[in-house]
Formats: sequence, structure tokens, C-alpha cells
Amino acid sequence: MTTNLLSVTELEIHSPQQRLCGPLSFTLNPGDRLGILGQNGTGKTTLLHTLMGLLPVRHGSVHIESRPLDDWRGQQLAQQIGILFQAVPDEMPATVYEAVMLSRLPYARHWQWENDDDHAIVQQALHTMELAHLSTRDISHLSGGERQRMAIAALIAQRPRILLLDEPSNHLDISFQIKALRHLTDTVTDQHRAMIMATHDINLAARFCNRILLLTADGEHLQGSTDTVLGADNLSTAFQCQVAVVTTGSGTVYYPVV
Amino acid sequence: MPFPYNKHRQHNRFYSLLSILAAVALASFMAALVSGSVSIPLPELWQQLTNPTPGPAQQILWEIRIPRALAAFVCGGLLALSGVVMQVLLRNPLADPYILGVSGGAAVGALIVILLGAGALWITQAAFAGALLSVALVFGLAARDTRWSATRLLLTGVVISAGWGAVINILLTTSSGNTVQSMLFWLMGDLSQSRSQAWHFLLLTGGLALMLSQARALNALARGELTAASLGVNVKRLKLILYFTASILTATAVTIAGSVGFVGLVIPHMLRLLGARDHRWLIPGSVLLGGSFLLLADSLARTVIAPQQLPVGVLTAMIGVPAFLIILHHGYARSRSSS
Repeated sequence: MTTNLLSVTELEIHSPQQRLCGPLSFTLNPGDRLGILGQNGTGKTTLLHTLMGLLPVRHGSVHIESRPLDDWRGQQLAQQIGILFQAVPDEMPATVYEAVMLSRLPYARHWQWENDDDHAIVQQALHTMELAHLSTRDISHLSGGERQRMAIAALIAQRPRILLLDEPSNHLDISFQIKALRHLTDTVTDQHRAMIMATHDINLAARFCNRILLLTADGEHLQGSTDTVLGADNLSTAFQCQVAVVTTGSGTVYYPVV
Repeated sequence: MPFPYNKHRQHNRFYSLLSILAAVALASFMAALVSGSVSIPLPELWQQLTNPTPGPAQQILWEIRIPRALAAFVCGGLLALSGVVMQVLLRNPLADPYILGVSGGAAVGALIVILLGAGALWITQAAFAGALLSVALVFGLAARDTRWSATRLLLTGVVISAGWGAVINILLTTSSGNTVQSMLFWLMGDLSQSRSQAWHFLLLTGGLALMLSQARALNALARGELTAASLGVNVKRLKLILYFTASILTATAVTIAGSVGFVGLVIPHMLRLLGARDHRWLIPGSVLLGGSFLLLADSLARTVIAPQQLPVGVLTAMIGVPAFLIILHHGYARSRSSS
């Protein structure tokens, strides 16, 4: 029997004022790619931050590799689970290379410097995101898309078993949206990891996720395989907007009807 | 195609930067010891250092210049280190060691003692007590609940500083001429009464070692609390360590020389503009450069209008402003051309 990587039981997600969604229960097995869809303010980011241990679990429980989230120590946890944030402020100067190298911190002991493996991993990640030529550039001089590619490169270099992606397609042109997500989903399936992706792009979720969690405005949710959840009726209800589903020769396309 | 980043070249660059800074520190010591209202030429300095012979030169050197030079260096090092720490803690490039009100509290303590006419020893102790009071006050107001934010800490510190400023003004306006003069010297930062003590160096070394042990976590924190936490850094604990380390370092510096401005703000930036953004280089570099800078400034303060002395705080600003602007201009030009 394979142990699941992540299991969430009766988890409720709250903002300081109210319940956003839940109770949610799901498990992620190796190779799983869960897409989270829902309107603004339904708790997608809060859910990801809670799974990452950045916010306390107040109601319900989260287990990573069968161990409660609270029992994990910081660095060990960061080897298991990593997150692509929606936005990272850069108040202090750093180069692209230095910023990506930070993601090797979970593997460092006190006083330890980066070793040759760390450098090789970072350089590989920069190549994957086609950023090698920008290595020495200051991060404040990057375009929005380049910043997002840098953040994805950092997550690749961190090598967590569970990848949490908060709006991974933000600022990326369509070719990089596909390149980045194809690379991430390939790693997930080939190396038996798991991924959760919160996104507003139904088409990307449909293409790259095998399971969907659809959050609705009233705090309810639907979950299941991508095909069963992503129907026109479900999406129209969840987004309170008419969504059309068209099957073309190259796949299914979702778009809002004006 | 070779990768555009070379680890060894990068490390060599920073090792040479640190070596240059160490050489600068040594040269600053020499300059501080030979110069003054009585000049001691290098050969005589060497002879007095290696084999002291009783006389006026020996007395000036061992009883006045060396203790004062050491005090200047340690004070500059403390301030620059504290500046680095404050800038990461608050993730604000304008942060300096005094931004959270440590110097204001120290000043009120010192000024009250000056007003009462007590001796220099009491000034030191009152300044230290005032600094600690301010640290506790800001922490109690801003950080009682566990999820304190940098913004809240910063705003609380700035407001408390303003409060201390008002008290300082009351003390200045109600004091008589002579007292005001010594108060102003204290407020501007002055090393003429300063003598280094072993515990100053112990504290500087301890602070340096503690911060170096956290250097990679500091690099992560510079990218924001969420990023640092997601990489396994215990952000809550780290922030506490940073807050109290910076506070103690600053409080110590202030008791040595009053509130010398500019060192803690500018030295870290100078090094960052020279490329030392990684805290493993930035931290030792700041201590060396901050120490040398204050040492040179103090040598000038003693000599430019000798036998009169200027408060060293005036000199740090007069050297620091143009030096910083030049490096800022060059650093900016270089980062533009490389992109």
C-alpha cells in the first residue's frame, strides 16, 4: 500500500471575520495534481498557506506523510512541501542567482555553505526556466514574467515532495505557462510527488490536473476527477456566471459567455 | 556555454573585499594613533608600541589615543552591525539603529544625569538604562501579540522616538548654557570622553558570531517573512533574536559615544552597493568598515580645528554624505549597464 503524501481531514478555512470554506477532506497520493478553482475570496490562498503551516490549523487536521503538520520541524517540513507565492515583495536587493539559491536553505545545516550539488541544482533550475542569462541581474530589474519564472525556478530547486502553486500562470506568456506547468507536472508524475494548484485559468487546470476542488461563493465545494467536476453547470454555479464548454479536436475549452 | 555565475570568482571577490576592509581598518588605527594635537611620527609610534619608554608620547599613546581609538572602532562596528540587523528586521532600507527609539531613551537618561550634574560614569549607566527602557516599551507595545508585523514595530518605534524627542527638547530648553553645551555634544555623538572596555569587544564579537550563524536565514528574511517561513526559518524566533540583538548593540554603542548618526544607516548600504548583499559577507564587512569609518571620522574630529575638538557625529555626516552619494551613483550606473 502506498502511503499518501498529504491528508486533510475536516479542515475549515477561516478569514479573521468568517468561515471561507470547508470542512474539506481530501488526500493526495504520489502523482496527484489537484486544481483548486473558485471565485475571488473563496479561500484558495488561505487554504494553501494553511497547508504550508504559515497559518494555524484551527478546525480539522492536516497530516503530511501521516505526521500532523505541527509535529514537523521547519527545515524538514520545507523539504516536504514548498509553495509558489502569488507575489513576493522585494524590498532588499539580490540577484536572480542569490534569490533562487535561497530555496536550498531547507537542506543547510548551521554555518554550512552551499555545496556543489546546490549550485548544480540551482543552475539546472535556472536553465529549465530559461533564466541562466539573467543570473547576475538584480531582481528589481526583472519583468513581471521573469519574476514569476524566477519564483518557479526557486520552487524547482527546493525540490519539495508536495508543490503548492498559487496562481502559477500569473504574468507568464502562454508559451511559458505551458512550459512551466508541463515541467512541474512531469516532475510530479515521474518522481511520485504531488501538486496543488490554485488558479483562475480553468483551461490550465483542465489540462494539467487530474482532480479538481471547486469552491463556491456560499462556502460549499465540489470535488472529484477533473472530468466529473468541470461541467458547464458546476462552473456556472460556482462562478455565478455563464460558462460554456466546447470540445474541440485538441481538447476541451472553457470560456465565459457574455 | 559556461554558466554566467562562477562560485569561485564570486567568493574570491568577497574574500578580497574583506581583506581590503581589514587593511583599511589597520591603516585607520595607524592614522588615529599618529595624528592629533601632538603628532607622533610612525617610527616613534612603532617604538612605543613594541617597547614603551616612559615619556609624554607614551602617555598620550597608551592613556589617551589607544583607548579612544579602540572605543571609536568598537562603537562604529556595533552601529554598523546593528544597522544591518535593523534593515533586515524591518525590511526597510531607511532603517538605522536608532529608528526604534533606542537612542532617544538613552539620550533622555543621559541628559537627566547631565542636568543633575552627576559624573561621566553615571551618564553611561543612565543612558544604558534609558535605552533598555525604550526597548522594553516598544516591544511591549508592538510585539505583545505573537504575530507582530514589521510595520507595526516600525510605526511604534518611530512614535516612541518622537516622544523621546519631545522630552529631550524640554530638557534642552529648561537647562542653562553650560549644561546645554555638554548635552548637545552628547546628542551629536562625541568620543572625547570615551574609553573602550573589554566587554564592548566581547559584545561585538558575540553579536557578530550570533548574526553570522543566522546569516542564511537573514538572506531569506530579506525576501519577506512568508518566504523565510516557507523555507523552514523559524521567523518568530529569528525576529526576537534580531530585535534584542540590534537593541543591545545599539544601546552599548550609545553608551560609548552618544548617538553618533549615519554609521548604521550608510555603511550597510555602501557594502550592498559594492555587491555584498549576502549577509555572510555583509555582516563582517559592515563591522570592519563601520569601525574604520568612525575611527577615521574621530581622528579628523580631533585634528581639523585642533586643539579644539568637534563632535564626531558632525564628521560622520560630513564624510558620509558625499562618500555615499558617490558610491550610490557608481553602483546605480553599474547595475544599469550590466542589465
